[in-house]
Amino acid sequence: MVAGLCSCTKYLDIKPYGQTIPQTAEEFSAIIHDYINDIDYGEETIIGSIMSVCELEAYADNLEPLLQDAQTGRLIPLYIGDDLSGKQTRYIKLYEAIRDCNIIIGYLEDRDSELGRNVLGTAHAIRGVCYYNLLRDFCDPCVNNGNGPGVPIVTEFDMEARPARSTIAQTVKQAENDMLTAISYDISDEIYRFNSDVIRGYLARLYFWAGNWPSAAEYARDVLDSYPLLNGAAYTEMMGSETARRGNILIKGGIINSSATGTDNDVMKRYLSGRPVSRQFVELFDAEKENDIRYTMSFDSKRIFKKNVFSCLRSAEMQLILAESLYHQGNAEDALSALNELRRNRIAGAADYTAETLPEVNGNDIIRQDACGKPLTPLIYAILCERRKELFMEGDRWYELKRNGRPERWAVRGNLKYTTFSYMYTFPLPIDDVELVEGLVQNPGYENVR
Amino acid sequence: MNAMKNILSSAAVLVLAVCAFVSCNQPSELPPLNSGYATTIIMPDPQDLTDEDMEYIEDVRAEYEANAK
Repeated sequence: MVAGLCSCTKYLDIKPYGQTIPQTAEEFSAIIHDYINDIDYGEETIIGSIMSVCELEAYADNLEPLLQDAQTGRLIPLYIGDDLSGKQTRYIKLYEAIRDCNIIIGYLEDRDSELGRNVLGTAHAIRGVCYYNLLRDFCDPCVNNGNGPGVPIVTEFDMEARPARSTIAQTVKQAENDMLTAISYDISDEIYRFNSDVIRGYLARLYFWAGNWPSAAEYARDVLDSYPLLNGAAYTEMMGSETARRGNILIKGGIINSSATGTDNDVMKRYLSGRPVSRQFVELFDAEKENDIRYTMSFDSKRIFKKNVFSCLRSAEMQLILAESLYHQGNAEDALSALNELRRNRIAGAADYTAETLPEVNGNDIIRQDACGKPLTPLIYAILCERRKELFMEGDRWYELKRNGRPERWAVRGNLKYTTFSYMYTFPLPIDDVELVEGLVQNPGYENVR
Repeated sequence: MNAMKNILSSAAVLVLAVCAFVSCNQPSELPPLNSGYATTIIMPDPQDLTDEDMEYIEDVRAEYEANAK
């Protein structure tokens, strides 16, 4: 009786305390390969899938909801408001990935073998990417907003921990530390996907999102040195490949087709075919459409998009990060040069822009200010337009709208107007987390729940 | 004999009391159940279209009909 009563000192304790924590490097490796396998088949949490890219494009303005076909377009989210509650699941999945990375980082004992180093490096890389994704989705725009609310920082496996929100600057620092640590492991085995070049690309993205322009430019240059821009047939081949990672794509989600009824791209093209491309997007090509390789690649004569959809990290994005980062540092000359270099690779016989020949800012564009909150100049506007053309159907535009002023816009369903308000660019934290964790503050605009 | 019984009974009571107090040191360790919590964010109500909105929609559709062949 005494033994029975004394043997369990923590009667309700459900923490496994080593019972289910992996033991060997191979077992820890299995956790990482599970995530990498998901990335290869197309997951929505870390790198993104064709489906998640299509959803982001549906929330943004490259496609025109006012032209949506009632039948074929009925499954497309009309605006972000249709999906905001579901974004709580994204938050949970990101923290599940962080939890698994924390288990690896905290408990893997074999830290010196090649296997151990590859697993640890990949865990840091994935955790860093997760914090970067949390920053973009669940925090307000970061430029000049370091003291704004970040996300809870969790770096150890502890089921009882209930951390409140950090600041944006602290979240950026956590993602940065993870990515730099991952680089220090120098992951060489291709099977782990996150080699040092990939992580440098993500660092460029992180610094760019955070408004650390010098570092963004430095890392973008690093990647471009190893993965220069492509043009002509090489570019067409890279973009034309639905699944395989080709050309200067550093990492790509969904490299294995998972659809039983054709390719994943075919399925998504049918899904989004009910919403034509917007007039504003088409007009970006007007002056040079005959010579711009992206014009015929992007949509057909009925303005139905035809570009392959995928989630990836590639050199053109680095070139655009470089151009914009130089601009925000006040180096207009080099920014213009970087922009012209991309244009020469896309537009046959393109005349280089000069300060005098840059097109005027289109006053009808819904973006009215740059990432620093300043009015648009012809140069930054040209960079943003080039980015919009280049990264069409790659899930970029939604974040561009968020980064550059969070413009409000509306769409129509059943003669009613549904507005994407500025606050909706920052997704809600899970309601029950906010209820349970003292000090965890919900993002503004999400007070009404049921 | 009675003294021995008293000692054993007292010892048993003492052991039981000690065990009862120390065996479960965090009785509320499990987080509260989340049933009953809200899960859905309520979006703002949609608004009626104004004449200006209707005009804009017509413009967008007319431009599309004219130029997308």
